[in-house]
Amino acid sequence: MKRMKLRKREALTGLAFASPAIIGLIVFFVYPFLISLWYTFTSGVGGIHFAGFSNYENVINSAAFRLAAGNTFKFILCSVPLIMVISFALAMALQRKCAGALFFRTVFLFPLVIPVASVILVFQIVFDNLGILNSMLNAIGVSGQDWLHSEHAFGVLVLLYIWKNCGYNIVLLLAGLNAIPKELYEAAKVDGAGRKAMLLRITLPLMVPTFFFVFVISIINSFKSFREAFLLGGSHPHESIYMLQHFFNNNFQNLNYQRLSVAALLVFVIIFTFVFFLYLAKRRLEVDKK
Amino acid sequence: MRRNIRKSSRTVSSLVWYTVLGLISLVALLPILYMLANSFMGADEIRKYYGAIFGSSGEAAMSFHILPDEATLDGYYQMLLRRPDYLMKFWNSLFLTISIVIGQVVVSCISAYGFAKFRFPLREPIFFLFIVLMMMPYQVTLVSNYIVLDQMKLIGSYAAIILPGIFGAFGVFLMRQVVASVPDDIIEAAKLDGANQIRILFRVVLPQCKAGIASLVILCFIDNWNMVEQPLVFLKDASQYPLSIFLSNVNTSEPGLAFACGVLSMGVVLLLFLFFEEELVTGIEYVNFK
Amino acid sequence: MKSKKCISLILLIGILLSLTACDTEAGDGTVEPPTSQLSLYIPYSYTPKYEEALELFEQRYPDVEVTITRQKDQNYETAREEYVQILKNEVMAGKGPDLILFTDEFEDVYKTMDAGAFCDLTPYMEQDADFWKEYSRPVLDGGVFKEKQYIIPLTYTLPLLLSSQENLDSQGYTLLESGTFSDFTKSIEPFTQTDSSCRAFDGRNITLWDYLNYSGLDYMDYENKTIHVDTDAFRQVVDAYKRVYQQEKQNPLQMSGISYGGLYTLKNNQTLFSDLYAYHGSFGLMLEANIITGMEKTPVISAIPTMDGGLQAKAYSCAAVRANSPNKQNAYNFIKLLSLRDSSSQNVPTFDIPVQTSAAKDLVRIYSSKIRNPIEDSDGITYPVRLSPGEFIKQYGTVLDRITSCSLGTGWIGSKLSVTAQYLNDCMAPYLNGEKDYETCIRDLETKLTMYLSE
Repeated sequence: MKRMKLRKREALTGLAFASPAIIGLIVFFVYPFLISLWYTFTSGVGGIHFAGFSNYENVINSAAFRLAAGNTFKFILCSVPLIMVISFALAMALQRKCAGALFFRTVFLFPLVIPVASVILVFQIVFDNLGILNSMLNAIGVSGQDWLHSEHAFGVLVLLYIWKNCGYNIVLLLAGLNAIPKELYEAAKVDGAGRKAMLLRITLPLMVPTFFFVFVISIINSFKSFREAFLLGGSHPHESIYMLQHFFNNNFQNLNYQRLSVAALLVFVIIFTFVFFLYLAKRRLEVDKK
Repeated sequence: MRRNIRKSSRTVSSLVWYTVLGLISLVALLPILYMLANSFMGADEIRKYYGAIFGSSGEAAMSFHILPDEATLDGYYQMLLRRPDYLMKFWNSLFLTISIVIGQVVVSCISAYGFAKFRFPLREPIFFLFIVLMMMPYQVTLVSNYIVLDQMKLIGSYAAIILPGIFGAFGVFLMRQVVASVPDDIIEAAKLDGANQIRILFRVVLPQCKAGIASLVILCFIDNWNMVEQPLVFLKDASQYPLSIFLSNVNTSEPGLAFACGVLSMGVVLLLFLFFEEELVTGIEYVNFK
Repeated sequence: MKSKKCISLILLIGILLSLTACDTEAGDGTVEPPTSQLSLYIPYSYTPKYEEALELFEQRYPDVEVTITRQKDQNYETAREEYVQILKNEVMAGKGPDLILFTDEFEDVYKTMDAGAFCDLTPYMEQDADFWKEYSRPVLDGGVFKEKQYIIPLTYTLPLLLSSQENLDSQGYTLLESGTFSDFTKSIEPFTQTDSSCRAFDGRNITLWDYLNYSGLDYMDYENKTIHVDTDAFRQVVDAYKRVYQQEKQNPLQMSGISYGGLYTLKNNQTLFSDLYAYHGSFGLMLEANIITGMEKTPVISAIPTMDGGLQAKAYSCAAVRANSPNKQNAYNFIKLLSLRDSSSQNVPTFDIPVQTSAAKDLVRIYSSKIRNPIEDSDGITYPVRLSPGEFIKQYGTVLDRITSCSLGTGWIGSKLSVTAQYLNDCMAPYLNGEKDYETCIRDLETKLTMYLSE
């Protein structure tokens, strides 16, 4: 009985503390989301006509939506693993406790600080058809490419994403790395384990929660790179960087909120499923610290 | 003999380490340095060298031009003294961003305590919902947010931007991890001493999380300092717009001032960053990701 | 517990099934009764015209309470952006003004119509058949989409060819009063060679989009989401444009921003016709015509025909009623007053051509008689004026009678090109510059436009 009462008290206190965020979540995210869910079944501005599933049919059959979804997926598939590998490698390199390490860590965080518009300006100057990169390539006899308005735009966008977000990932990964007790490594060395074995058996398994965290953050940031794509290519960029947010944005400009909501809902379902499986994977791979 | 070889091999590897990381950090810093250098150029010089991307001076290709022909503070002069709206937008940005940051820190800390240290029914599903909603691109909820805010009669006031910003899910996500790493024994000890929950939160738990709070402050600040879409949609009066919108407009309309404007915009964030950098980088090492 | 779950699952499935059954896209088909309110936004442009209509409205419908929001006096760019935001955000959220007035604020008017932003005004117009008889039916039909009248154009522009008989005679050119687009391009062929001393018109600001618009080709089917660029007719237009484009590129018109530039080039025999765009229609047209008469020459006028031999207008300022507005009847009445350009509304000069045909023909006569004093332009040059001959006014009237269709959208959104115009420029540029062959460019264009339509 007493246990039940304690549990109930704990639950109530917990809820009380968590309530501001939950209320905010409901008012500013859940409720608007339900509104847009309602809109997916209507047509006409203001949701005046009932349209059943016709909007869904329309959007799924839209070639533009398919292209956008494919590109977004491709972008995440390319850039997130790449940035995880690069930032992990750099994090490992920066584990030294010397002044240089501190300096480099700070420096790598700088790209996060620049406003996007200014970064784009510099990138345009470098990658434009008449830009610096092409001038340099032409000077050594290699023909320049139209980096920003052809399929190379995808690569430029990935580069931009990695450049910007590496620093923060490094800091988070370093935190995770430093949380692994040194005794484990010592013990392993005594047992005669090599560097590779230590990496595979100790570091990676214990880093799983950190990896999960950084993975989620990286995906969130990859969605944010729409702004860069928009500033580089306009509202209708080259088809290699035409992403879901372009689809959203253009339907927004044409007052077609219904299509936007349908696309958003489909994205929501995909993300939901994805994070769900990620959660399961994390629970499976988590190692008890013994 | 042996000792000498070991020492020299260590110096060689040190050298390699420094060089590789040095080169990488140069890449990371290049756009910033470039912007800084170019901000000291006059408007005519910028047009002469970068006219190509702004469509003005014919077909002249751009080349790498980092040292100004004539260093001038004209760009800064124009921005700070000749443009009254610049300073006004600056204060707008500052007001908006600081309000959101303070709000988000307060809400997230309190709520994170609830999520991290208490068990209540539906805790995990709710948190899961936080993660999923955090990943959604903003266009998804923009229009329905508009409808909700309109119902609350907030459209046109700063509250329309500040309130949704305060309840951003990222803060709760990050702080939960941070709070979770505070050892339970300290909390138990405080409880035994007879402290009530609120006291525990503010006197015991939060001081342990200083590093996490610092990083939340910086990230939240950066994110909201650069927001563009929400002010455009939720604010009605052009005089209320923050600096980020001004920056994106000036990049296209007056390229001569673009660099100076970008540097000034970046300057605030950079100052904040350097101020908190110590806490951010070193402190977060002790966060344990559960 | 389990039975509860079962029941709720069945209910859910039932709801979902019923959702699939419902697919009503029916218009209202009925006229709503008048209400006592009306809300308007008076935007930054053409405000005197709206104020005029407002006065009339308050006289004729004193029982209606009109809520007006006027834009603050600020610089043009900011005002425009503000208005665009209001239109998009508020209307999309289901609020905003009952009456929507616009020129080029929407990115793509056809897509906006498809999104159901405007209400079908057909039942209202059918009740008022007498009123609309005075209006150019082909132009009104330009606002019809999927057989519903969503938009009512208020004014439009035409690709007018203004010149003086003496000029044309000296160049040996006979003005065509009928014929097709191909006939026209053939007739100006000697003037669109790269080495022609006198060119047909100032081609500096004419894009491929414009040329296709003049030709009346319907290559973008928004209703069925299909593209028709792979036709011979399309190729003819592109090739005709290519001549003008090449001519302008290799032999640019030597003339820098002089006001009334079209007249300047006419006078110096640099072009056959005055500017194709800008001032033409009503006031601006008579200004130039009177100046030509003042130069002791005879003004003549025609227009570029479409492929079928008709004439395509381009709607300029339009009005629509918000789809979920509660005050549709009032908004519709206001539109009627806005469209009046006859004697009841004369104080504000009209720069484009009003859809009200009688007014369109009368206004030019009225303006011609009003423009009496010599005109001094911003460069300090003075142009003497004289009353244009009645023949000219009559000729203009016959041009107006030739209109057979009307398109919406101007190819420009503010100072930027619309997406379609941009695609046309980008995809066809290699062909126009002679770098790639036609087939490749057309394939590219087709892919891009199809993707655009499917968005």
